[in-house]
Amino acid sequence: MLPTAAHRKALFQPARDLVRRVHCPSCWHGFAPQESLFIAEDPRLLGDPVSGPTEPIRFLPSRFDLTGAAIDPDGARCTRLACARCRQEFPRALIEVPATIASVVGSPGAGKSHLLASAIWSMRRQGAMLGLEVSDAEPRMHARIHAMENALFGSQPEAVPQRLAKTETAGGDGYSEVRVGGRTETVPTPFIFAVRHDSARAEERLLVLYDNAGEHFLPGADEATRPVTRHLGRSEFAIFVLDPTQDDAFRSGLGLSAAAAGASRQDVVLQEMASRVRQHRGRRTDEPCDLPLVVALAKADLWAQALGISLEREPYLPAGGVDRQALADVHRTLVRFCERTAPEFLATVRAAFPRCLFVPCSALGRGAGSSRVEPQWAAAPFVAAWEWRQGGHLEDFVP
Amino acid sequence: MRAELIHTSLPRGLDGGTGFSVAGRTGGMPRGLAEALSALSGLPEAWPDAREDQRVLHATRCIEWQGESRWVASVIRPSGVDHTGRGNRLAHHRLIDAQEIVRACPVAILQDSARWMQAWSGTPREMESPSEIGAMPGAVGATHWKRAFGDEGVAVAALEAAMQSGVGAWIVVPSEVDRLTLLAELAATLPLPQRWTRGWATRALRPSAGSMPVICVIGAREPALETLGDPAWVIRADSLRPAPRATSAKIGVEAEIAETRASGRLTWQPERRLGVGVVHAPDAAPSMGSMASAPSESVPDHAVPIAVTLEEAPASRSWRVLWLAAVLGAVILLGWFLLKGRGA
Ligand SMILES: Nc1nc2c(ncn2[C@@H]2O[C@H](COP(=O)(O)OP(=O)(O)OP(=O)(O)O)[C@@H](O)[C@H]2O)c(=O)[nH]1
Ligand SMILES: [Mg+2]
Ligand SMILES: [Zn+2]
Repeated sequence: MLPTAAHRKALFQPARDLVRRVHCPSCWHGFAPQESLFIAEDPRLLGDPVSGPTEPIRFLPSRFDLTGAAIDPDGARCTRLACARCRQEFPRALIEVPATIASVVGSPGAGKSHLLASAIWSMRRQGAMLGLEVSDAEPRMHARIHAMENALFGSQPEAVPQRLAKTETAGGDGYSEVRVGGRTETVPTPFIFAVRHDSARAEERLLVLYDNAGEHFLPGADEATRPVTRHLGRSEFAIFVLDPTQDDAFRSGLGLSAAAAGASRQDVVLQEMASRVRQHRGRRTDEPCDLPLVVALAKADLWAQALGISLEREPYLPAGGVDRQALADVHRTLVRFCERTAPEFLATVRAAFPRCLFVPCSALGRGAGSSRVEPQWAAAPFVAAWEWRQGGHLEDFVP
Repeated sequence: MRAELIHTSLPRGLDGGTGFSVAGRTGGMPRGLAEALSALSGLPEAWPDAREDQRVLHATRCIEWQGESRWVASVIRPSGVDHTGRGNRLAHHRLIDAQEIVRACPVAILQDSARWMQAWSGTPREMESPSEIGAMPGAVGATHWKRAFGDEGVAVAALEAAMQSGVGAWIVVPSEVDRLTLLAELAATLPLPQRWTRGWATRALRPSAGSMPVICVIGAREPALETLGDPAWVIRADSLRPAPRATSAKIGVEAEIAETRASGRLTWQPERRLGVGVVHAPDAAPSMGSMASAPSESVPDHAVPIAVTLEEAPASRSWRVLWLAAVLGAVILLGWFLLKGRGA
């Protein structure tokens, strides 16, 4: 038999464009796409000196087949890619599509994990309304976020409220340990989504998110051997999850009793965040941070009514896309509330992040007291920040 | 040094901070050591309807601190709800010193429930040195293995497979059985000194590069199993054939096997067949030939096209050989006919 049509076609396949530079979503090391390592598929090629003894070997290939897949030393076809430094696997899309890294920051118990799970769940379902299509870049690597979404939205046999566990600070499936330069480092497992505007010729872009433990953002927790929040040095936007119910000043402004012991100083966490942003971008300590910040005021089901904010209508236009007016209105209400109750906090935010937007959200929404979870405005901080970043649809938006 | 550390979620920890933090530690423990122990405190997610006792992680692990290896025994258990109303866990770590290693079985230490804190109460504080661990020879026989799998020899077979894997192993057993007892009987199959050549655990732990292999006896419903294929280091206990000599020899004194292991003759080595001229520096990716990787800084400013066919697949190479042979054959035939035609 002569070479098949498929073979002939493959030989003339047009070259695929790659991005100029990849930033590893686990260690944020920058490298050229052709420096990516491939992950061996042959089960005998086990034991990588960096990613661990139970991981397949990572290698820089010299042999490829006609489709561009690498051939491992045992002749198996390999398509999975890994970072040149920490050797953690990343989706192939990362070398083909530009990526936006985003930071979700907040003190322990602020509501980051619930918000993340609810926001992703809402974005997957409400694409048309949001004007965005959101999907997993590589479903195989998303077991953790799927488990979080299932825990909140999966069908439950009993009528018990399903809630997420507190995020671990190390160990478990949220982190990996790698050996780089003779030193063991803990790196976080990212969540990577493909986002596409629903206009016909819209280009795809990846969104990289992390579910950190709040403890990682406390002063003193940024260590070289546990660089789990160093995405702050690379992110294009940040979401600061503020829990007004953890703060006595906000609580009194909302007419609630004093907070229980153990609430962390959220203004300190915000300052620490700003200092890490500057430090990891090589900025001066008095320089403002140039990335947009969305302050997501969480658990709004508990307090929105007291401020006359209605969460019934989500902030999107009937034809799809973000409703600027709705965002601007609610931003003004929340800023006025902060001016009244916690002016120092507002001053800290504005000094560090001149581009800031206040958005209310509720991960549990209407379902807060029950076993059902019906998020309200959960995706809004993410969609607003996504559109407000450089190159987004709301880039020129001044709230 | 005998020392211990308790790590759990608190309104305020001993070293400040809120949430997961140090609740108690032996007075005088260096901060770096406390951080290294705190980093071992994670409790992996279990299957959704797991009972509290099924979620407990019992483990002995070897950590490196200031250039030295230290053994740490840990019991990490769910412990009610914390001040934020969310499920909490209590991690209790105990450093094991050199004298204790000589006389105690690692899994027997984990089984000694009086030694392990069930719940934390009171304010964060520095604690006294823990009491010394005396002689603890460990389990005798493998009755739980016999009950679970019908034959004590399954324990020997499982241990043998686990020891042969240089990377540790996950031995998968039904989720309902008492894994700590199975682990104790498994460890007791080895002479005492050899038990300290591996870590032991009752939940799925992935060893990191350069760390001591850990033998984990895990439940079949562990979520960590779901995303794995079927690697050689995952051993399904119910598919093992009992080791032949198990029923005759007394399992607790399988000295010969143990001796072989101790001498390293059975140590599993990852197979690396990377071809000729391969340099395999510890941190460098094995490169298999000539594809030059430009240093990151010299990447051109335009998009880089993907290299589609640097070398064809072996299959297409054999086609090419066939092709060449056929063409060559045709040319020879043609030449022969021509010569013959001219001659005629
Ligand atoms: N009423 C209400 N409670 C919420 C909401 N979101 C989260 N919570 C509660 O707030 C607590 C903390 O939520 P998490 O999402 O675990 O907080 P976190 O920021 O991830 O905390 P760490 O993992 O400790 O950093 C939980 O008890 C949740 O039930 C919400 O929208 N409404
Ligand atoms: Mg969390
Ligand atoms: Zn990396």
